[in-house]
Amino acid sequence: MLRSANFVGLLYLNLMSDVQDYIPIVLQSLVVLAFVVGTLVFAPKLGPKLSSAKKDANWECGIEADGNARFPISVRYFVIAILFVLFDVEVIFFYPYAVNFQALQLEGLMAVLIFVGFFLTGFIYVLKKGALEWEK
Amino acid sequence: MVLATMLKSGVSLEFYVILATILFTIGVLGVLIRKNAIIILMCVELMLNAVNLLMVAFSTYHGTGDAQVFVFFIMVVAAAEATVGLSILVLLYRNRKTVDVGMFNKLKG
Amino acid sequence: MLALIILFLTALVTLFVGFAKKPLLTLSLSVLGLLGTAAALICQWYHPSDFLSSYEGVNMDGFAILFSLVAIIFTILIIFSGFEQFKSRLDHTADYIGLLIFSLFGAIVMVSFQDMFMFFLGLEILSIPIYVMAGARKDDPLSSESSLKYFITGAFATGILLFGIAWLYGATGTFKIYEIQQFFMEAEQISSLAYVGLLFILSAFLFKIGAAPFHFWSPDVYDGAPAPVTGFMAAVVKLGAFGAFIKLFTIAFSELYDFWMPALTFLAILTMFVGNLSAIRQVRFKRLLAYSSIAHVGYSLITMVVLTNNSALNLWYYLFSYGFATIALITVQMIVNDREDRIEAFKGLGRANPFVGFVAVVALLALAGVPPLMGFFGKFLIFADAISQNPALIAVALLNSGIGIFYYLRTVIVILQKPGVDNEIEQSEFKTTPLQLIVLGICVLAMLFGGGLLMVH
Repeated sequence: MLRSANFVGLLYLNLMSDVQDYIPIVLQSLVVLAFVVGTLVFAPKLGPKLSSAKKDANWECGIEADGNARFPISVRYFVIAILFVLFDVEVIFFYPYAVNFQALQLEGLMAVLIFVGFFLTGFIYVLKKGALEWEK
Repeated sequence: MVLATMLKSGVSLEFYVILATILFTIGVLGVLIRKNAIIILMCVELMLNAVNLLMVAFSTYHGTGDAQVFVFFIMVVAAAEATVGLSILVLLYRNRKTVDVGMFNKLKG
Repeated sequence: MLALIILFLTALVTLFVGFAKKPLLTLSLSVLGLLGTAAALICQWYHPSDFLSSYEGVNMDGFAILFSLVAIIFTILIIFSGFEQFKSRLDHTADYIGLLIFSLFGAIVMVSFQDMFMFFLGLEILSIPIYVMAGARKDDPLSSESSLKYFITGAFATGILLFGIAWLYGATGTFKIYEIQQFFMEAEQISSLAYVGLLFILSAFLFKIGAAPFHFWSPDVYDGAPAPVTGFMAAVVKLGAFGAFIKLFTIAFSELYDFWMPALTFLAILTMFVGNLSAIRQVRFKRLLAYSSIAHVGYSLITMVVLTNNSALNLWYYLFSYGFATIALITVQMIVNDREDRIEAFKGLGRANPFVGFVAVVALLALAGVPPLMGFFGKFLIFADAISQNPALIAVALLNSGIGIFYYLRTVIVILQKPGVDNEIEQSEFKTTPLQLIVLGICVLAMLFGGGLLMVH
């Protein structure tokens, strides 16, 4: 375990900031809002209104729409998605390490290597369990 | 009034605390009221994220970094929990063909 | 710390040995690892200054070692008694055992933590494997339902706990429990943030130990989960949660005793009544055990209401005695193996298999607190310690013990009855395995002679 104090030294966020800092955000929000509302309101009014059966039908890459969009997907996708979430989030621990790479020296490197070792153990377990085999 | 204070002093601790509390309350209410298990799961995540916000705000207030590391742990544990929760949901869906928690009433007495 | 490392490696090795598909090998390796962990803990007891014995977040003091040793014993017993069930799914045997060991790891972290980081991580390591294990019978909707219920309440409780920790951190500026204690001692004016945090943490604990009014999940979860997991939840999870509870409240919140004591008094009384009164009308065995466990949580809370120097040891002894009785009963339940888990199915057990019947009767009487069984001494210690400070509470507790004796004795009578003649209830075969007999033997010996531990104590 790494000592927490120097661990996040550089991650320190400054919450107290001036009003001026927010002006660009406010401006951008206004522009975005105006654009979205503007297009939604004016586009139907400006354009001609034509409708036919062919035009109202759903358009799917030029191919005839077939079946329901909510069809069951193979559970294999789901397993991989879940594993992805799990392994993806663990990367969060590399971020503070990367920031404090120099300060932590050998101790930090050892800690991270142990961490990656366990990580790999988990991955090997998943592989051996056959969770990533597509054809079964 | 609130906006005026905010404009004068920048965003102070209270606003973060209030925002976190509101988010947390929404999460709690969602868990208690909603019937869809997936939405309940999302509300639990919302609760945890409210906590994260509160932690970071307090961390800055106290000028120590501990809480920010705690936030990392919360995030990772939340991911692990979500993984397990989703897997349980898939399992239950296979057995019962629904994710409505109102339907899970076989265990009673 | 060495013990934790051994335990972690044991769990990993167990998981990987599972690929060989040799259940006995898995079992022996895992039990060997658990015994090694216990040995490491005992070494630490005699040589506390071992260089691997502590680091910032985890400190294996006497308290932690006692609680951990008991948790290890319970885990071994549960692995033994559930082995038959684990073995029935060959490709998952090692996973079941490995998850139980990971959960045990969490329990040990939870009784040895020094700061909120380790406390929180311990809690999660304890809980997450149990969410999975509760749903271990994959094709059984009841098992998955129990798993989901446990998961949702557990995750909700985690959220509340974290919110409490965040407020507490806001008030004190630290996560270390001794620094929090120091802060409260020196503070002239305690910020209201701390009280908010305390209340949230308290509610989360009540969720985890299953005390009223946050008990509603536990009967459902106990009922639906596979029997060994129910035993594990009742014995080990409760031990870990209570260990953390008393540790946190006697160290970090010791200065706020006047604030949380009245609340806990009320909750202890409520929990005892809810548990005992609901247990009376149960017809399913695991539900009966669940409500009985709620009642026992009520008795255990008394140790925290009246804090004396002996509180932690009394609580430890009480949970020790309670765990043996519950594990024995869960094992008997597995032997009876009724599909609908009716208490009626126990009819004729005393005649069909006298030894199992005897153990079941002893375990029920131990839960009821009949002398000279271990359960009696557990209750006696708690009540004797509290009677001078809070006689009214003890009067209520004694009344509740009376109610408890009623439904325990009713079950004892069912066990001793002749086998039913009506064809409606099919007779169970009462098949036992050698491992289950060993578990029953150990439990019955502990319950009969566990009072002797008081001499040492």
